[in-house]
Amino acid sequence: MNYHEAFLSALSHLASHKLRSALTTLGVVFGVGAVIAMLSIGAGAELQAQGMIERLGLKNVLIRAETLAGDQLQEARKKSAGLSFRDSEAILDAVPGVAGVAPKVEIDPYAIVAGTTTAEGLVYGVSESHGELAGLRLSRGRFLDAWDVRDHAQVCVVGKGLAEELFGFTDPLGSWVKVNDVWLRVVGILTASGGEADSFEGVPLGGSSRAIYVPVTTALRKFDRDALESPLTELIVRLDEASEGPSTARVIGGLLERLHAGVDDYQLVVPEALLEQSRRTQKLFNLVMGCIAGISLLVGGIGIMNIMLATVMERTREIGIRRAVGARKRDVLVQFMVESFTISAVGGLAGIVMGLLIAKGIAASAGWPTVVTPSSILLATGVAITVGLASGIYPARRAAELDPIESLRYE
Amino acid sequence: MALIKLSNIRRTYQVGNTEVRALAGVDLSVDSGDYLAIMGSSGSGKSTLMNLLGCLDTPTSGTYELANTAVQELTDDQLAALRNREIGFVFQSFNLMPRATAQVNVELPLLYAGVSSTVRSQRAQAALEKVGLADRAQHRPNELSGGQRQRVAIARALVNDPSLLLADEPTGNLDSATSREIMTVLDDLNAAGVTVLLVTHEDEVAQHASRRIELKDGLIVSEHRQGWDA
Ligand SMILES: Nc1ncnc2c1ncn2[C@@H]1O[C@H](COP(=O)(O)OP(=O)(O)OP(=O)(O)O)[C@@H](O)[C@H]1O
Ligand SMILES: [Mg+2]
Repeated sequence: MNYHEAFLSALSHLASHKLRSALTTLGVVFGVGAVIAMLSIGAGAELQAQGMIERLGLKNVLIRAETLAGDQLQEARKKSAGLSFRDSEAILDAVPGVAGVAPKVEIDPYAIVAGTTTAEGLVYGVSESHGELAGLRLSRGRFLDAWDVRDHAQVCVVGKGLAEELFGFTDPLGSWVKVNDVWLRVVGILTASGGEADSFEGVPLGGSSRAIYVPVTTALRKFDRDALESPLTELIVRLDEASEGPSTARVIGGLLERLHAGVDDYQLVVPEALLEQSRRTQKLFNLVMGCIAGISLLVGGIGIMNIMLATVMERTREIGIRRAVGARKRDVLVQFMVESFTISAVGGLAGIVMGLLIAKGIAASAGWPTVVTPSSILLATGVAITVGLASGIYPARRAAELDPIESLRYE
Repeated sequence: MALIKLSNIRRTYQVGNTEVRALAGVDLSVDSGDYLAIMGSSGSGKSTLMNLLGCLDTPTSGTYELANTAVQELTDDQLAALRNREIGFVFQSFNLMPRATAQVNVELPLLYAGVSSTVRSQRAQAALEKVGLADRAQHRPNELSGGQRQRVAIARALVNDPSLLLADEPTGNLDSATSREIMTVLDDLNAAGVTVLLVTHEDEVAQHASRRIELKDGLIVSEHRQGWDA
């Protein structure tokens, strides 16, 4: 008897016990479904993390001014002036492997008005190199340039979402928008940015869709700011290709510690390290989910083994007949192995379908991004086959080792 | 020419502390084409002998030569092949697979002989025709009468053209009219050259054989040839 025939006969045997076969496959269905769903969540989260890190810039190191208040702020300012252009110049001069430093100032906008429309948004003062460093993409017009920064020009670049809200169908380019009490002319519109989330691992991403970018000099001079507040809110340090985030960050850290006289009024963010951290979290999640899926598959396997043992018992006489007409032990072994393999293969297929549905369902209901990768399907299939073979081997061996005469006499 | 040669065959079963001697030294020679009836009271060792002859069991001691092959020297797989090609079994309780049709039951030995499915189905058809059941091929055992079931079992036994047919009380579960039907089939097979060994309690059935032996307590106690008319 060859495998093809053994498979057909297994299928017809399973088909003659539909309910029992269906119940037996359930463990594998859930196990495989869980594996696929879990891996799809993992892959989705990884993709999302990568996207967010890219928005921070994998080759960047970010220095953010700590938001201090009250006594703490008073204390800090006695020794350190906060994040300033002095820091940015020092980093550019003294730290090897730095390709550029771009300052960023956050302005607290209490009014954003265009014509009669008001909107809420975020306002940043940035240098001309910010667009490239932060990976902003223009859909129309131009980004801020060196002359804007030098001349404290009253111009701005507006995020897509905010532009649509402020201007509707009229062309924003060349129009005026008033932020607090400063009039700004729109020179560029950004494309819609990647994700909707605006922070990652606790670090603000500065989502660009609702943002207005103005020259940093304009921001510092034309907008009122608290005198004690840090002059700059953020420095984006762009590293050159050869240098490593974490090690360069240590050098920058040492430099800033001296410049700020040991006052902890800033925070160093290394996207590369954040990515590492998110991967660690992901690994833990995968481990926990893997255990759950593993237990489910184990239970599924035990279920198959249980049913196979019962089947062998039930069909003892059939085994005796087969042996009497010339089946070798190996033929009987193959017959029952193929049967348990078929159960788990069918369960595996159903599990893949279920996994795809769960992944879709999670994406739709929880809003998590899920990605079903071919490798996860391959893995789940492999696991299902392994479960089928592993749980079939013992019952099949038992069937093969039955004594033919005893089997024929079995009632 | 002797197809079967048994010398000093013993088969003992260990049941707890006692030894049951099912066969206590049997010598027997059966020629090719013989028609042999084995008789004896219950527990005399008839089925034990049949199982040994059918290579389903191995003797505790003694030698068994089947068609000049020393059976005790064969491996498990070789024994399976021997059962498959040289021996056909007919049981008192039919031993058909209940969920399979007559056709599938008859095809079973061919499956293990590696015969292709089209040839299998042709040969199974031919075998069913020989026992007069060509029109019942698609019936399951529970849709057949006792006599028909036994004829399906005979068709299965002869589908591989065995040289030896072993029937352990083939008519034990059948009424006398149906018994005669079955015996006609066996007679025809023997006439066609198949060696037939048959266990029975009934004198009427044993009459069909050309030679008869009687077992008692695991030994052959009497043996005689009989004419067709006897
Ligand atoms: N598996 C076994 N274990 C222990 N003893 C056995 C076994 N098989 C047979 N025997 C014993 O061997 C002896 C012969 O049994 P066997 O089945 O050959 O008798 P039989 O002549 O076929 O009887 P019957 O006419 O009732 O079928 C009996 O005493 C029986 O109890
Ligand atoms: Mg018996």
